Amino acid sequence: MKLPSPRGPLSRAVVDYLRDPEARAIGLPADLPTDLDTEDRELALWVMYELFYRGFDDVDDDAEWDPALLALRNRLEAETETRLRQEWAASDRPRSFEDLIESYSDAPSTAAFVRRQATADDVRDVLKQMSVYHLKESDPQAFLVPRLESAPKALFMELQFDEFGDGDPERVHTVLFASAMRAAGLDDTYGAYVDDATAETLAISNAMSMLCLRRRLRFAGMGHFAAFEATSSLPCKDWVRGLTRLGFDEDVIRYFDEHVEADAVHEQLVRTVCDRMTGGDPALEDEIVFGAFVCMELESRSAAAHLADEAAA
Amino acid sequence: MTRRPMPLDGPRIVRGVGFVVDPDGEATKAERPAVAVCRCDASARKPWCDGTHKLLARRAKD
Repeated sequence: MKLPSPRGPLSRAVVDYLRDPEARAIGLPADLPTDLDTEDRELALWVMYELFYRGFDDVDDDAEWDPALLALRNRLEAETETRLRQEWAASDRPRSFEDLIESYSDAPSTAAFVRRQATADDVRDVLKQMSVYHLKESDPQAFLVPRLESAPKALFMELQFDEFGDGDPERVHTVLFASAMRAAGLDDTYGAYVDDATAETLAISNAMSMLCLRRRLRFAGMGHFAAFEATSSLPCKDWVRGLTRLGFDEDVIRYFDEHVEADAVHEQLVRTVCDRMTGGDPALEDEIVFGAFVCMELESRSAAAHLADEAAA
Repeated sequence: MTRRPMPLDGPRIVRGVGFVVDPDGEATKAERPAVAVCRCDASARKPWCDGTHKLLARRAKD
């Protein structure tokens, strides 16, 4: 994957810094603006996180641990975390995991749109956005593994083993998603559609990276994943119906079909993982629910923005 | 202490089985190490859970 096109002063500074060894010798500009356009800010963060996953063909691998980038990431993450916690504090959503996710059951849903009225091109647009995360599906959460105690870890590995294909490379979920992309006539190259990714899409990917790469936030990271898995089976059924209605190839349908059953298992496993992590401690429990809120809120904002775009188009 | 209780009509997680056999004797191969077996009887993919129990719970509340 090559570095994406910058979208403003912050992502330009990060991309230039990574691309040019001479710029790196000078350092990042001292006074990067803090009142940033969201898209620019999310892309800058996304680029910095991606150094921890696959890196970029045009960037030295050691940039992953570059102190100037880590300093900038720390600053942006602190801002993101503060904002998300303020939103959670101000939200009137229920404070228990089950009631919280249930409270989003009538939120804007891309899956319902796909089932009822999306065109084939609409579906391709959604798949492009999804690819930003789904081509690294479960990779962020793999960073949680060494941060877990044995009891949750053993169960979490059972779930991750399934995400990563149960020992069969052809059944790794990212491989299924890549097949779906190809069968839908799209480019399955990792990062192919990052230049098309909306601010909301990048924010979803970034939130997972932040919660899973920062050990202090591991409870929120697992709560986020639990919410994601617990709200997947039924929407995937909507996807199967919509894709069938539109006559999409079997390989596109297979990805969503697999997730109806897989996530029905995973949501039960990850609930118990969360229970084993917190042991009922109310403060840790709050962190799990905060993570679930981040997942549900960012997903529903992304769906709302996407549906508004479709309505305007 | 369980904060995320399994819904009463939610699936049962079963591990290490090769097949699940329904009351009519029909066997379905288990494709993953842990499977979720439907207990609400409303799944469209029996014997596997497909999340339908949650729709039933939502309708019961309305």
